[in-house]
Amino acid sequence: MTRFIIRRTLLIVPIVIGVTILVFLMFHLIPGDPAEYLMRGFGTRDQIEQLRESMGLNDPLPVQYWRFISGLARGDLGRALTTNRPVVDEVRYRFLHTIELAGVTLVFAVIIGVNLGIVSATKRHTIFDDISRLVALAGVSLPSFWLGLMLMYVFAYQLGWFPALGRGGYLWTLNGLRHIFLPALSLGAISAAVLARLTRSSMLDVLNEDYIRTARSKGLKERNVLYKHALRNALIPVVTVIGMQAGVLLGGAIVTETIFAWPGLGRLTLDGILKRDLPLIQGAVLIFAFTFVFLNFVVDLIYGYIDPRIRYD
Amino acid sequence: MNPEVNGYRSVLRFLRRNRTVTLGILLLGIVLFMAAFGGLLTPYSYRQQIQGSRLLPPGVTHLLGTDQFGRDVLSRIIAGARISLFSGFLATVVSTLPRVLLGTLAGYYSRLDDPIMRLMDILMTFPGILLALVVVTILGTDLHNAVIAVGIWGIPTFARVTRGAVLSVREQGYVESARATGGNDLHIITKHIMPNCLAPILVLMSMRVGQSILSLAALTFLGLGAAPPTPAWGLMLSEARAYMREAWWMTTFPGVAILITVWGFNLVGDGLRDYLDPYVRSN
Repeated sequence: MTRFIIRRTLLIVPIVIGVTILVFLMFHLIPGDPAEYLMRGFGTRDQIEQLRESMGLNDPLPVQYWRFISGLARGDLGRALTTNRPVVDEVRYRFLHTIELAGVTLVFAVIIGVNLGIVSATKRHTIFDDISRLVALAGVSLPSFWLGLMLMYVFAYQLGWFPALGRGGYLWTLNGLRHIFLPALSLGAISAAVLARLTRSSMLDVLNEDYIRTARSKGLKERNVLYKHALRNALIPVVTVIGMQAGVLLGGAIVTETIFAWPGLGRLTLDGILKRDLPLIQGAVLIFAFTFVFLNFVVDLIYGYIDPRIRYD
Repeated sequence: MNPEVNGYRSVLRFLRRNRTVTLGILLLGIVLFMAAFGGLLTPYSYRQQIQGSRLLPPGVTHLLGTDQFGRDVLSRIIAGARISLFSGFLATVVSTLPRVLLGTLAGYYSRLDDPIMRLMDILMTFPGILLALVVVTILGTDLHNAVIAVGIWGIPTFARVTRGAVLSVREQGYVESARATGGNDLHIITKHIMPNCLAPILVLMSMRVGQSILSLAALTFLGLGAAPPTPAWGLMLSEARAYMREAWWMTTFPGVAILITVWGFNLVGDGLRDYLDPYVRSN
C-alpha cells in the first residue's frame, strides 16, 4: 500500500504542472489584457504600452510563466482588477463556502442515492423498480438550475418554509441549515439519481455471484446477505463515482450559487467572467482545478484500499 | 448473423419489453415535431408583443401564459425547440470528431497512447462547466461559442470510450489478417476498425446530445450563451427569474421543455445501449 501511495503521489506532479501550464496559456489566448482593462476609456496607446511593459506583459511567455509559477508557490496570485485586492484573499473565504455547500450536498446525495439503488435492486422488476428507474433517468435529465428555481418558488415563496437567498449563519445553526437546504437539494438531486442508478446495476451484478448463493444457502438472513456480503462489493464502483460526483458538484455549484445567491467561489468566478477580471478568473479556475486533482487522488487511494487488485497493476 | 436477432420483429419485441424506450421515442417525437413544424403550429410569432397582454396566466388564448413583454410563452417554447435540438446536435458533433480521432490514435498506436490519455487526464481535472466557462471567456459570449464550449466539454470522457473500443477491436483476428495481407494503417483503421467501433460511439452520441442540450441551457441561463430576444429555453428561464413571484408559468414551462427533451434522449440512448448489448437483450 505504501508503494501504491508513493506512486500515485508522484503521478500528481506532472498533472499539476500540466494544469498550471494549461491555465496560464488559456489566459493568454483571451483577447485583451489586464493593462488594457485598467486603462479602458482613458489613456493613450503609448500609456497602455507603458503599463504593459511595467506589468511585465511584454516579456517572453516562459519568463511570464516562471513569474506566475513562483508567485503561486508563495501563495501570490496577483491582484483582482475589479477590487484591487489580492486574488488569494478574494478566493479564500468564497472557496470555503463552496466546499461547505458541495460537502453537505454530497452527504445528502450519497445517503439518498445509495439507499434508493439498493431498494431498487432488491425489488427488481416490481413497479417500485420501474418507477425508481424512470425517476432516476428523469433526475439525470433535469436542469439543476430549473429544479432550483422550482424549489425556490414552492418552498420559499409559496410555503415560506425556507429562505430563498443567501447563506444565513454558520452551518451548525438552525438558520444556516435552513439556508443550505434548498441549494443542497437542487444541487444534489442529479447526483443522487446517478448514484441510485449505479448502485442498482452494481448490486444486481454482485447478487449474481457465487458467494451470494453460498451465503444464502448456508442460511444467513437476507439482511446480512444484502448489507454484509453484497453491498460491500457492490460499493467499489460506487466509491469511484462518488469521487467523480464530488467534482461534478463543485462545478454545478457555479450555477446553484448564482440562483440562491450563495457567496461561493462559483459565483465569484462567474462575476469575474462577466466583468472580464482575468487575474480573478485565473485564480478561481486554478483553485477549482487543484481541488479536482486532489479529489481524484483521494478517490484513487480509496479505490486502492477497497480493491487490492488495483494496487498491483 | 441471425436474422431473427437483427430483424424488424426483434425491434418490436424489444420495444414491447422495454416500455421506457417507447416513452423516450414518444417524447423525442413531440420535440422533433415542434422543431420541424414549429412555425405552422404556433398561433403567435415568438417575438410578437401583444398590447395589453403582459404576464397573463395560462388560459384559453395563451395556453401557457405570456411573458413580461406580452409574448406567448408556448410559441416561444416551440420556436426554442429548433434552437435547442440544432445546437445540441452541433455541440455533439464538435466533440465527437476530435474525440474519435484522438481516441483512435491512442487506441491504435500504443506509442501515442500515453501522451494523449495524459492530456485527456489533465483536461478532465477541470469540471466540465468550468472548462466551458473558460472557453466562453476566451471566445466571447454568444450562441456559437457556447456550442463550441459545450463540445469541448465533452471531449475527454469520450476519447476514453473510443480508445477502449479501438483497443479491443485491434486484437481481433480480422485486423491481424488485414495486416498480414499488407493493408496499411489508414486502410485498417478506416475499413476494419472504425466500422466495428461504431456501436458504442453511436450510443454515446445519443446520450451526449441530451447532455449537450442541458449544458447549453445552463450556459445560456448564466448569460453566456444566446442573447435576447432569442427564444432559447435557458435564456427564457433566466429572464423569468425576475418575475418568479407573479408569473410562475414563465419559470415552469421552459424547464419542462428542457426536461422532456433531455429525458427523451436519455431514455432512447439507454434503450439503444441495451439493444446493442446482446447479453442484456437476451435477459
